[in-house]
Amino acid sequence: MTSAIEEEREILESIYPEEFKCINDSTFEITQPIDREESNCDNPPSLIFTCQLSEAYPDEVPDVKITFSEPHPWLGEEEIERLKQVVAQNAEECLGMAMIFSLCSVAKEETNAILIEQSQRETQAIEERHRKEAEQENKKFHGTPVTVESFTEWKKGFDAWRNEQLKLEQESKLKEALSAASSSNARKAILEKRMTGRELFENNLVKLDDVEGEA
Amino acid sequence: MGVLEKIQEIEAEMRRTQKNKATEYHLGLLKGKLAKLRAQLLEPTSKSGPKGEGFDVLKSGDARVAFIGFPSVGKSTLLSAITKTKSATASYEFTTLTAIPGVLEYDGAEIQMLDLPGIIEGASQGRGGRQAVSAARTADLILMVLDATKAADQREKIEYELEQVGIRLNRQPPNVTLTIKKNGGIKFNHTVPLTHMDYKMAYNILHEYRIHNADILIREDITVDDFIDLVMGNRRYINCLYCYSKIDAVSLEEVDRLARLPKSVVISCNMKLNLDFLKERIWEELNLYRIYTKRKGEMPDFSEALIVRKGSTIEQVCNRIHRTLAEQLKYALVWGTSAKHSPQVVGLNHRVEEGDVVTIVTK
Repeated sequence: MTSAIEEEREILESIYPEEFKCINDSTFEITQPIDREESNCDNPPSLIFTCQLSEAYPDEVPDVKITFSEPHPWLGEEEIERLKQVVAQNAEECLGMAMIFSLCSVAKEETNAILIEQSQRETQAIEERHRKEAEQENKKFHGTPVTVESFTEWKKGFDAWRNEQLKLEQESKLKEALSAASSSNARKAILEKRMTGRELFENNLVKLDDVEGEA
Repeated sequence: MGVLEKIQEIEAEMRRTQKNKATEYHLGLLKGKLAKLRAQLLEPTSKSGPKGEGFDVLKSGDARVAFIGFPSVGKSTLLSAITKTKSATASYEFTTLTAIPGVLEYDGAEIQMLDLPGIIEGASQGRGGRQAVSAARTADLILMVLDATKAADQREKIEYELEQVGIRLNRQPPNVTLTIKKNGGIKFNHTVPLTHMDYKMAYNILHEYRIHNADILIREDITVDDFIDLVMGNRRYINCLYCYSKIDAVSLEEVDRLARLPKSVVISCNMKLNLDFLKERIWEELNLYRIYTKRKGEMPDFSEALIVRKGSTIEQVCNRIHRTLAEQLKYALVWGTSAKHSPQVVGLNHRVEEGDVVTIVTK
């Protein structure tokens, strides 16, 4: 351990009394809460910044890892990669100086920026969905007006369509019944078109005097 | 903790439980608990007013149709348009507050129409309209009245409320036999491959309901929810017709789209459009048959029909004519599609069909 690392640890302990944790002589972990108002995020996780300082620190960029206290849909791998790049770029600019505080601050600021962007993106998506829904709802009020005449004409077409549907349905049921029939006689019975009792009488197909014979 | 709080707690736990093989038994159990708690919401807490008033409208006629919908979709106007009833909505400034009966006469049948107050979201959980939702359970057909000018999700919301009180729309009871026994444990058999249910799931659900001995025979690939419905035993499987009102206020293209949805009818009371088609569809969905009686040597009287349900037998026909006629039956003569030849001599068990003509011969 070099005096530079020792000095860095003392600085971080004084800046982050609650957030700082010393993993070992050269590895430090800083957990920073994210403010919900600053980030425009309802339930933001805490930012966990872990860095390992080499013997050459501060003339060598530390090994930095960034995670969050719990998963969040707005902070995926892509966003974490973006944070790493921002931190790495800052680290290059800070070579030769104590830099961990600066890197932590940058990481936190960038996290807030990411969350704000995600929030705006979600708001826009919601607004777009509402706009499309309203547009779809309004569509029903434009087009051919319903009048007695236009409806009557439409109904003719609809009835034809419906009768076709019913016919197909009946044919489907008939095929099903025929394939389930066990004998040719059963199939004949299914195919036979039969009149209702009412139709038999109304079409004078029943002789009343025949009935007397049955009694 | 009240019933509602328990329901909310279980629903939250179900959301937290990820769906995978290891947790599906737990989810099945939670569903069983939920069904029990929801049933408790339906149990009456106090005796209501005199019979026939309020929601205890006496069932009359050959069948009952319940009008269900959100407030101000035009149910009362529709009731007046297709029956002789002047809805009592005039007595109230805004909307219907109690169940109003009317009678639709259709080709010899008398169909009771029940105009129920508009459903408010959350009706099944005790908010406004709970009695309307429960009263719908007594119907032979539900006519869901939907405003064609309103948002599309009104239908899903009403279906949700009806589902909560144990009404299953446009579905058949599951093809399952559940016989509760005094001993012997749980016996689980099935005649088809099952993708949702197995012995362990059935065992867990039955134990939740304190059933430890039962024979189960499953003949179709039912879901866990179907099985819970079966165990609960108080489900009502009711046909539903979706009636889109106020179509004079939307485009003809929208009318066409709505009309082609399954079990859908489009109407306008303002312009008196399509009301005859609605009556026709109501009749079809009720699954009723008209049976005509005939005396020996005489023509049947087609101006008067006996109305029976699909699947009825000569016994039910006799019961409709007179309470004790079935006992006196010697035989019956049947003309029509149910007869192998006309006339056919039949007994009490003969199943009748639409338009049959029947002569009852007594001992």
